Amino acid sequence: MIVAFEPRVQDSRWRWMLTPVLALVAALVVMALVFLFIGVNPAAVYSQIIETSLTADYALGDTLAKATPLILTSLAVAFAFKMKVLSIGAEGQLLFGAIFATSAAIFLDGQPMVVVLPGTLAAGALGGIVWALIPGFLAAYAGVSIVITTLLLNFVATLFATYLIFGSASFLTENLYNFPQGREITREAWLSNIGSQSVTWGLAIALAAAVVVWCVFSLTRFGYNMKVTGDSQKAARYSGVNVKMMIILVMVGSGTLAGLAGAVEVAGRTHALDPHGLALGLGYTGIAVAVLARFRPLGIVIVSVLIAALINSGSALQSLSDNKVPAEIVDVMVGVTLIFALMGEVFVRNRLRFRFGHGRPMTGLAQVSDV
Amino acid sequence: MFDISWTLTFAAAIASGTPIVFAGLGALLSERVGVVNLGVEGIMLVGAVTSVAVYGATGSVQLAFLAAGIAGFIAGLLLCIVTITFRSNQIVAGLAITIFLTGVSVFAGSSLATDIRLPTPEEVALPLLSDIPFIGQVLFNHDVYVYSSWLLALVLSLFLFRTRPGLVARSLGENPQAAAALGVRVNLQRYGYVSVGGALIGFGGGYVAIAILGYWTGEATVGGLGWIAIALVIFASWRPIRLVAGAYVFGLIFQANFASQAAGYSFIPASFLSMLPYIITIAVLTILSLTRGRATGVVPAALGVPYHPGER
Repeated sequence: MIVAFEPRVQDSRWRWMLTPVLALVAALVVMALVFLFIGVNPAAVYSQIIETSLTADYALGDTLAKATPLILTSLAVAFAFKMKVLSIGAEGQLLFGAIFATSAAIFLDGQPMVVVLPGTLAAGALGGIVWALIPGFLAAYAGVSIVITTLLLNFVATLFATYLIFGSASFLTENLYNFPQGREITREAWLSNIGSQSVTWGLAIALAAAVVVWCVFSLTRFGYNMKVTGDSQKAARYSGVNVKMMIILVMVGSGTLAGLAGAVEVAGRTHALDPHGLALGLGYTGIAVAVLARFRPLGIVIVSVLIAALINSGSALQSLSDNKVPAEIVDVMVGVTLIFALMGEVFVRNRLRFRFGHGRPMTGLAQVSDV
Repeated sequence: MFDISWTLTFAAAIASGTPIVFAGLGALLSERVGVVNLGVEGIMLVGAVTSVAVYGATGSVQLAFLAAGIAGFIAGLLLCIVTITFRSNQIVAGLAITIFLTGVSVFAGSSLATDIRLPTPEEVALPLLSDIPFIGQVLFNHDVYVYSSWLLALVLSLFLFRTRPGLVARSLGENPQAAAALGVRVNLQRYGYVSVGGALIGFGGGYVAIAILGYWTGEATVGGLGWIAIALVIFASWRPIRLVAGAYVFGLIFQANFASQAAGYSFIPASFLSMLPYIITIAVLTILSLTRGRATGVVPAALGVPYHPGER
């Protein structure tokens, strides 16, 4: 028997939307088997996740607070991917956003809130742009792969932030109990909480960013040019698009979003530059979210909340059955879901054909059995 | 210059460069056949946790090292299934595998006994060679795994550049369509090489657990070495012997950090020294791009390009 993938002629929207849902269901089933294997009741784990991330007091607020930077970092990934540019630099751009935002907040100390808060957020966006422009220029003018440069610059950014806090006595730090840590920023730069919940108005910024990104993608000439350039640089060039400039602009947009994530973390949660307390890993999780959401802004908001719920329930899971379920089980779940979703995509783009007997399928068909 | 502390620093640089020799060679093999492996960090973690678990169960260091390779092989197979059979984006699949395997390793590691300590492997001084002043002590007084990593690099280099199957392997990363036209089963061969590459990456993780740390301490066991190994492949411009030399340059940078901190002077802050491997790699990549590395054969031309039979 020959099993073959045959490319589908028509792209179907519902199949794209179904893939991540089925991937999540498959991941939950597989994880349930794992929990049974180690002697933990899966129902207990899943109800614990729902309780700690959604139904308990303040749980939903905490989940939305966690989702806020995640929405922004995954939008950053999706923005670049609109032009088929895979940037994995949201992590480093987030850190530079945080460094710039903290610096601005400290510099603007004493000014009224209408100056300090917008200044802090704008500085955060600028920090992200600065760090995104390095791979942007290298790609546009030297043809260097954005994947690798953005990846490597993440580690440089982490080390730089570590240096600012622990290796230097800069204006960003203060000594508390003889232990260096980030200097707390002025209250005028804090994003206030929504009601009594832990989620701040940063969420509104993230949601507004999602709307803006959707508008850029769907309504503007620039969004259309991004799509054309991503599909074929040659075609874009013939139609008069400046491809080098597009690469730079796409990185500016992506960096703005990631930098804002850093600013929102500083202004809304950590209130200081703290490389260990900052949302480390949110840049990478943002890629997972963007892929699961098929790089669509609305989908990103939904998937971010789901993943944030999972992350927030991690520590509560440890209390279940003598520490048999460590918080890292959340990484396993995200990883399994992502792998299933990636594997599912082939069924969206192609249909499976089974052929019996001999004879090769028509040319143009790829064969699974022929790996 | 030849005093004892310098000798020790250089010898330690070689030891601390060895995990990225193994992992880098694995990533190199994978990239040479056209598959980017961004799962290195996760695969190293799986190798490390497996070797600690196997040592805890059997008490044999050799078995522990071997098990790390087997675990890496299976992880490499997983990458193949996702990227080759299911044709996913290699970059995203690699990151997904790192997220997944990091979680799996920490999950598995949390059920390990906390008191497993692996004995440091004995140093074997090579006769005659180790008597050479300075160089002998730096190069020829290490454990057997260091020597095996040299042998591995040599074999890999000879295989890739001096044998016919090696030529075919490289053609998978240069022009898979042409290879297929000559009757090579591209995806089957990629499966083999990427999985073997996974085994080498697993050895890298195993070496950290066995010789450098001697125990399992969660995600920090590997602590970013996997990403440095990916950078190292570029730094070495996809050449196995250069990769060994590059690994020791990076190893020296790790050691310089410790040395300058221990000596209490810091004319270059430790963080900036640690940035060097990444910054140098970006510089090398830029030079390769400006000199048209893909066109001139330094960079595998079909690197990262999936091969779907029937699509030309």
